[in-house]
Amino acid sequence: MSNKKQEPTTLILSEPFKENFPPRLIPNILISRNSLSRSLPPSSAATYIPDAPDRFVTSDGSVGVPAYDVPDEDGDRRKEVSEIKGSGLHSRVFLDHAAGPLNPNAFHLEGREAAKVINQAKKTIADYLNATPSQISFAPSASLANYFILSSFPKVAASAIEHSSIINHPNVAETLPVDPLGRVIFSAGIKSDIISISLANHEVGTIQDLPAIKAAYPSIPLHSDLSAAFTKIPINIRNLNLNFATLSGAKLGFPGVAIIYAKSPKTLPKFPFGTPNIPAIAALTDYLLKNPDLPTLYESKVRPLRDYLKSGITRMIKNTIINGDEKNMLPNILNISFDRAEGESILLALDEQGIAVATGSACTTGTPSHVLRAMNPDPTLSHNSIRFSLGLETTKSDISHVLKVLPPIIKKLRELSTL
Amino acid sequence: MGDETKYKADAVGTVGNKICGDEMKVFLRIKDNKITDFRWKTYGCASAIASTSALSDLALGKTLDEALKITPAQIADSLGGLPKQKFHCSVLGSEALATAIKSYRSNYANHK
Repeated sequence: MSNKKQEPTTLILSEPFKENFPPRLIPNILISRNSLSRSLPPSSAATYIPDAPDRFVTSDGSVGVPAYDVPDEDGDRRKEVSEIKGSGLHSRVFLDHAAGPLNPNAFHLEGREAAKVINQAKKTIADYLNATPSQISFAPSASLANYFILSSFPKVAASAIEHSSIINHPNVAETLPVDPLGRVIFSAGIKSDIISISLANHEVGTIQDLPAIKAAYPSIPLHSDLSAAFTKIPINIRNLNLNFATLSGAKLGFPGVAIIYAKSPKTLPKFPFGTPNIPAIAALTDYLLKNPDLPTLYESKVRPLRDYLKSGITRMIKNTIINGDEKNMLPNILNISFDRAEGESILLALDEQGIAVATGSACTTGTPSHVLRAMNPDPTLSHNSIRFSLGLETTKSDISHVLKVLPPIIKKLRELSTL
Repeated sequence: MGDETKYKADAVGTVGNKICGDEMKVFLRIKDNKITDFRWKTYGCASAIASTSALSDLALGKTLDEALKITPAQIADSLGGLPKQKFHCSVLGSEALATAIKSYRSNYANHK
């Protein structure tokens, strides 16, 4: 979390590629014309300055540079054009299409700009986590990152409620049980080469006491999947004393990118991830730069709404069970089981009313939620569970709508139920 | 179905269990070997609920032998099809009906 003024993200994309990126993925990205498509109108001369502050791209793809008034035909849009010093007015000639224009390993301007996106991202993310940029690297997804990190260790001890990419890893040799609230029980000795425990659980929201776990097993490296927790609660990765961590960009709205943290980068093998997802990385960076303190927003804005939803449901609907540790829970998650009403039916009925939720029911996923099963052997708990996970855009009126439509749905399903 | 204790069924059949996630219960009234009323309860997903409901429409008014010939495929078709992974819901439905009819017949045979 940082209020430091960061270098803006800059990236040059050639015109044909611009069309393929949804506007959300190209914030703060400088669009330049390439030689394939355009000749320059005489009036649109401007100088390309890589380090100019406050560049932005509007949602229709036009670029704005407030400090530079670029004359243009239609007056409302400003276009900036790259100029190569000494060559007069000429747009970039891009003849490295075999590598593509977003290759951060290339030495030309486009490559350097792509590399800048990566460096900017590392700095921004490191600031957010209290890490250093050299400890940050990227992967196409958190599942893949988890897979590769854990593959480096012959024996893995993972909690029973880890994400499937961890709990199903072939190297898992020990499973750490949890109590009915989803808190890892770690009294026994651990014989594995690495411990993997998510800081917060993605299904029920329970937050683990990672410092206590690290203190109990100081000589075993600790990996944590921070995907559910990142931006929802403050994370000081140095204080947590983690050796490795993964963070999913997808959960923040940026699929195609995940972050790997390694306390000692040299301890990570070289992963074969290939060309990084520059647009997604740029978009994620931009989001974090624009919102330097998301945990405070979640605490002040989202937690009260989640609590309002929880109290409303428990007041209006009898025989519900809240899953997870309510005293140590993410501010945005409410996982609740409804006696005698099956989860997928509830989900579809809510969907019909314009509300999107998730369920741990076996009917939807094929097997009941392993998280809820690890917390409580009663299978109906996961069959009947609904996970509400709120976002920053969720409003009180949204929650009121849920509280209006949910009780009749539960009532109807209970009337139909054999139980 | 409503309050099942108030309903005088001639035949009741239950299949499935809450552990695998679906349970269906059918309550039949039978007169002159025909199903004159078909009530049901289902604990399960939307496809399970829909299957039991569709089956009740298909079986009503049929003789017991005709009702036994209703196939899972017919139940699925009357719903406009079911996803592959939900086909078992229609199978459960026809099993619930068969169980009810079987228990009716064995009770009837015993009372004869």
